[in-house]
Amino acid sequence: MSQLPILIIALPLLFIPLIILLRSNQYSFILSIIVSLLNLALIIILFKQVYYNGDMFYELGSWPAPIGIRLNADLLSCYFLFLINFISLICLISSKDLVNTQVAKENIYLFYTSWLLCNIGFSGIILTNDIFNLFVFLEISSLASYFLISQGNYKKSVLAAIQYLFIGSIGAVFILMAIGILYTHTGTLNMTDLSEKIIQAKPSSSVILAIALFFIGVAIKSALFPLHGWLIRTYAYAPSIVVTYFSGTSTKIGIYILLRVFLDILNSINPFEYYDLAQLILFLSLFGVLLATFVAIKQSEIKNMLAFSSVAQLSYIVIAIMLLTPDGVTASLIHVFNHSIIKTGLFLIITILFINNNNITLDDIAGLNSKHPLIASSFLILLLGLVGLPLTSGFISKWYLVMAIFKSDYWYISGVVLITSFMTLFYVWLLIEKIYFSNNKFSDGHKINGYQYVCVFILTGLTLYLGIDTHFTVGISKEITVNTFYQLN
Amino acid sequence: MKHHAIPRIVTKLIIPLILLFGLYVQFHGEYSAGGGFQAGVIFAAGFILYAVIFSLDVAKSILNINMTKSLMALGLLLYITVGFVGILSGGNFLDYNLLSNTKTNGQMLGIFLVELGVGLTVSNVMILIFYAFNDIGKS
Repeated sequence: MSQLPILIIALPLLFIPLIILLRSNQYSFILSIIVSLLNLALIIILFKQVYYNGDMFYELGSWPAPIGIRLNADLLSCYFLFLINFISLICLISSKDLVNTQVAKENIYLFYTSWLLCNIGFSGIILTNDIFNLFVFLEISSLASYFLISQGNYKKSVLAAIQYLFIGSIGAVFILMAIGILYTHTGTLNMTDLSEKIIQAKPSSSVILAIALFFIGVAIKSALFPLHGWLIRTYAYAPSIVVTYFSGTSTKIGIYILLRVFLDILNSINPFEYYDLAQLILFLSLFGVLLATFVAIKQSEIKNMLAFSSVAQLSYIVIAIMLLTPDGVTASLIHVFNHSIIKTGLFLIITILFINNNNITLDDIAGLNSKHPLIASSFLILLLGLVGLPLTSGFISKWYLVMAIFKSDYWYISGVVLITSFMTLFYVWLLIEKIYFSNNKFSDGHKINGYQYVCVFILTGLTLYLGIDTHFTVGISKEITVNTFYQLN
Repeated sequence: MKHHAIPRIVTKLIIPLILLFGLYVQFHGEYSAGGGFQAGVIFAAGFILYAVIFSLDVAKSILNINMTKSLMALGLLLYITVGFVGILSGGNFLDYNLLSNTKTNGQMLGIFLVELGVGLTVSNVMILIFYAFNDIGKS
């Protein structure tokens, strides 16, 4: 039982050499499904343990904490771990036909290897209690994701991967420099240790520089508003199942790092107080929501539309965090979960409908209702969730977001949030109109296999379920806020 | 390079030395500067020099791409296995103390095996990168 945190990282790592050694496309798929299932089971056990017995530590090689490397599983880690591995499993299960058509035959086993590596990177970022390891795992996931993106069936896929490589590397270098500065000031890399020792380091200009560098690095990784360019290009050219996977995971990892580093480790020196950083980011994000929503309305390509919608929703999450109130953090955590589920569902439907991954315009989806009525109604539910209609999980997160804004000092921005929510309806309506009220015939005729149906229904069902029973999202989020960020003392 | 006697002869002379130096760095990683990463690169450099001088086809007949990929995976497998042996013998992941009868021997053995895994993986990745650059433009 005490080995749980390391097994979540090491078990997939044990399967990766086996996949490379077998070099079989069939087995690589099956093995990655098996290891993802095992991982999800382990995470659920870990989640229960942490929920009932409190935080769990794990010392690698039995070296004690400030010297050795430590893994730390608290509720925040488990929440994100569960989300990311769940989405990874869903995407893997529905990936088979898509990978066979979109990825070159000789690269399929490497594709699944990279997928698992990317997921290990994400799990490692979440579990580690060592700030340098956070950087290492970030690089592992990034390097694997460059490969995944380059495997798209466009000519520009490799170019998109290289552009992401450059931008991602710049972000990683910023984070590394920030870690270096923090290390020179405190002499430790252990997060718990660092958060205690950083108070003694005087708030000199170099600490502020470290805060700024770290924030820019994280902002690049999580595609916050002015730095979201790579996300759009990547989503346009990567294999569509990879886009589905990343839409729910990779940007959310950025949000996790933001929460962990700024509100947990550096919280003791109030990193957002310098130069009114919180206010600056808040208003940038607000502008980002407006702009991204406007641009999304004008898009004719569905994946681009959803990508811009992702930028807008991420800005909501950042707005909620930057309120710097317990309610705001709770709202952001709820929205991370709900938005991941909804956006993954939307991308998954687009992905399984259009197996060739060519430009998917609004006209392509016309008449979907007559061809695949069940998929069409799932799509409708997920879209309504994106808008935030009652009885969907989107409503819950929007509700908590608006309530948090009302209770904070920035109550006047709630109008903008409500208006942009309403504007979401415009581009959602464009899709609904095409699906339900178009006389065109749906052209793409390939069969959707049963697993893909099940995956779509699970995500749709979750969207509805989390809109009615909020014990999981709201309850856990409130507990995380109290336990990790705003200790009641 | 068939008609260039000097590069061929010099290469034949220095490749054993490069490989030997690679092994030296590999096995003395825990005492002095070095370790699996550096040793892997040095070892791969020796092989790449051979491939440059004596043509790629000869090099590939010694170590083909699939073999290289398998060795790369084996290095990782060795590392992870050492980690799991720590768990199976009742300690934590990568706990070297339990690998042998005394703590010192265990640490020595653990570092040796892990660095061997790292060296194997790094050298084969280097060779794979070299092969990959050679394949650019061929297909």
